Amino acid sequence: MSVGVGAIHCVLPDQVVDVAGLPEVGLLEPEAVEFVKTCGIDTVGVFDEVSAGDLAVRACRELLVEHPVDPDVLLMVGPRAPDVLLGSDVGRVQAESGLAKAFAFTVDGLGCTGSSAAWSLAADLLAARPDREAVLITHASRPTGADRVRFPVTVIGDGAYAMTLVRGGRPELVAHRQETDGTFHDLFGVDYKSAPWYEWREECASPDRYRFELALHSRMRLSRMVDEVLAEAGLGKGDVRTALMQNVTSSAYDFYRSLLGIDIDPVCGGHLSRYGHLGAMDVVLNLDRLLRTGGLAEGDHVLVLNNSPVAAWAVTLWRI
Amino acid sequence: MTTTAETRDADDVRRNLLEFLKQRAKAEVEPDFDLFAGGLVSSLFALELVVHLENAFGVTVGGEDLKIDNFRTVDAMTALVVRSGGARG
Repeated sequence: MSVGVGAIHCVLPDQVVDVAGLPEVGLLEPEAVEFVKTCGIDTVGVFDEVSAGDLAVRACRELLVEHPVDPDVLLMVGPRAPDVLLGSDVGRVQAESGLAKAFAFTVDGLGCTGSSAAWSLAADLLAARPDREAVLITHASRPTGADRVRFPVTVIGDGAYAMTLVRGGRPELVAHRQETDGTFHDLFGVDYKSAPWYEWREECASPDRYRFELALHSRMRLSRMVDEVLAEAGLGKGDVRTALMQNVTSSAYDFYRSLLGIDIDPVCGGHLSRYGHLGAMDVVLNLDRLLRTGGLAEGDHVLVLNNSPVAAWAVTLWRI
Repeated sequence: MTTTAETRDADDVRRNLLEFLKQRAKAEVEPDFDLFAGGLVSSLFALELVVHLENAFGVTVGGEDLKIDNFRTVDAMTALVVRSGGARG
């Protein structure tokens, strides 16, 4: 029995704010201001006074109202900064979403790639035990501290999703590859122990290493991983209807188009411009919107690429 | 004239890379100029640079060679090509 998507529900703010008007922009160095102007993000969605946990609970509750299911497992893709230390953010989501039957735990340490790892793990968990019927995955995007500009990477917006993977769901997860390279573990960091949260500043240990070494690793790994998932499915690049990735900067789409010889679907750039970077939510939002509006036909194949500066990479092939 | 790893030396590689930078980055630089500190290299251009190295000199750049210091200057890239067997030292 195949495994695929049961349902997806995304929560986004009604209001968006101009990136140029964000409070921190006036304090940035000229190079970072130029980045903000040219990264392809015009606005970001902003929720007032909510935590990542609040948003994840809302996403799960609203999904369960629209698509009732009693999941065996709840996977939370960890937020940039947990709401509680020592306590359990995913435990809170379980309790407040009424998921008493589910075993709840967090997939963490993978940045944006967390959602891809979560849906792959969900498929494996369903395959491993025939009595499991559904896995619920959730994630919420909020900035780590007060700042939303992450020079030289992206600008952060707010949002949350919940999605289920079920037996016989569509699109079907056809093939998946994922890899990590722990040597990049300290490329980005926030010194949270010596400052109050509103003073947290993300530090990139080496922007050159981010732009160069990580880019080249992505080139090498994603090229091979795309070839591997297509080979597993007996397909070539010409059989791919469209490709999705995370929304980081508009130049990243050019980079991956050049790298892979596959066009990145315009739905990604549209979300980037309006909502900014939503972390691990990006690929789910892009997939959801594509399924709703993309004019796809049964049997079409969609590639989803995902990577993060942690560094982690994932490629998934879905069949509509 | 087509050159091969046997007939090509480090000066040939250096000249080729300086000309590539002149054509693609519109920049005339010294062989020891730090391309990253000088802001000449974006992610996309870095990719172009590596593809050029591989195609022009028949070397494969991967694994441990994917370090920024190997690409920081024309001299460093030349040394990488020589180490990888793409030219005589």
